[in-house]
Amino acid sequence: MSRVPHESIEATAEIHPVVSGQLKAVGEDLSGRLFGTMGNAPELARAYFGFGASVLSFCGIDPCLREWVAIVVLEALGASNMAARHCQLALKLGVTERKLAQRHAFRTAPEFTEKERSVLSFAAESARDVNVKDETFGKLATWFTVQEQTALTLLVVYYAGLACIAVPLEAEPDLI
Amino acid sequence: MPRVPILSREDLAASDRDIYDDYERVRQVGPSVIHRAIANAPALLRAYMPISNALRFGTKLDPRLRELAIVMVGHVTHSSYEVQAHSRFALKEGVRPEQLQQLSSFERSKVYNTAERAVIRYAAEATLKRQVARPTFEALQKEFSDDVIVELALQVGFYNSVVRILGAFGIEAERPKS
Repeated sequence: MSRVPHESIEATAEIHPVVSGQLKAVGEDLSGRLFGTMGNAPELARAYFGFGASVLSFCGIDPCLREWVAIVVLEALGASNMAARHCQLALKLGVTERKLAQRHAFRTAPEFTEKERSVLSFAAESARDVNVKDETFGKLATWFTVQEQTALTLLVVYYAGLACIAVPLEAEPDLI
Repeated sequence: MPRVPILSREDLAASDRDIYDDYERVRQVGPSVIHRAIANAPALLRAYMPISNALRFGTKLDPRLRELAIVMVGHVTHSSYEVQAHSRFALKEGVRPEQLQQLSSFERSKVYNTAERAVIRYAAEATLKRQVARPTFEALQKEFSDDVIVELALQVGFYNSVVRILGAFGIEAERPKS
């Protein structure tokens, strides 16, 4: 139960069908507790989801890597139900149970590539510490173009922002 | 020194320059450093500006309270750029200088009223602990309607994104010109 009443976004604001479609395509939907809670401020919700949908659609990051970012950021910020949903999405995309179970040891587990480690180190540090060390960003920069570094940053901060909205409002979605 | 290029209008493809033009039209100033950094992924800057503008110009939340919340997010995350930039906005909106100076001791300080203290406390707890204590939330509910509370939550969440963009790109406060 969230701390504010649930307002259906579809009833209070006509979220652009493209935005809604993009969210559904990545396993999100507009009927859950988080979206209902944000429906109390429908115009802001529309703009926020528009941003999220574009980040997810246009970031150009491999879908599995995108889910890894979501999982690491959401877990770091205490959004455990949201993280669990993204674990389910990762499995659907072909990530193995074994690799998923090794996620907290991504720095050393052999299942992870150096490229994945650079992303997950960056995501974890950004979520946890806010400020990212030169060394961490430098490793990211060895694998990704400036445009991709920017997109990865926006992806990380989108999930960080969502966690910082959902957790205080007790508006995390239910587990699948 | 920022870790990604800070792009001018001329650096953008001709088809993306309207993003900066719209920015100037809406805000009456040129794009700030953070937006010029995000411009390295123009499609994402295009998606970022509507929520950034909506939070600045389209809320019921008192702008003084909005700016106090944002500066507090910057303060507790040691984001010098965020504190510097939004302290200017805060003063413009009517926040008093002593209210910016005493954020570290907001619980004891007498320069804040009940609503201001409730907002600052929410911003600090949501940012530092994520879980917000029941009395903190109840204090908000005594002062604000549900829609304004959700607006505040979106402001605090979004600026938790902003400080992480600054922290990733290594963007710090401008040093005073000597």
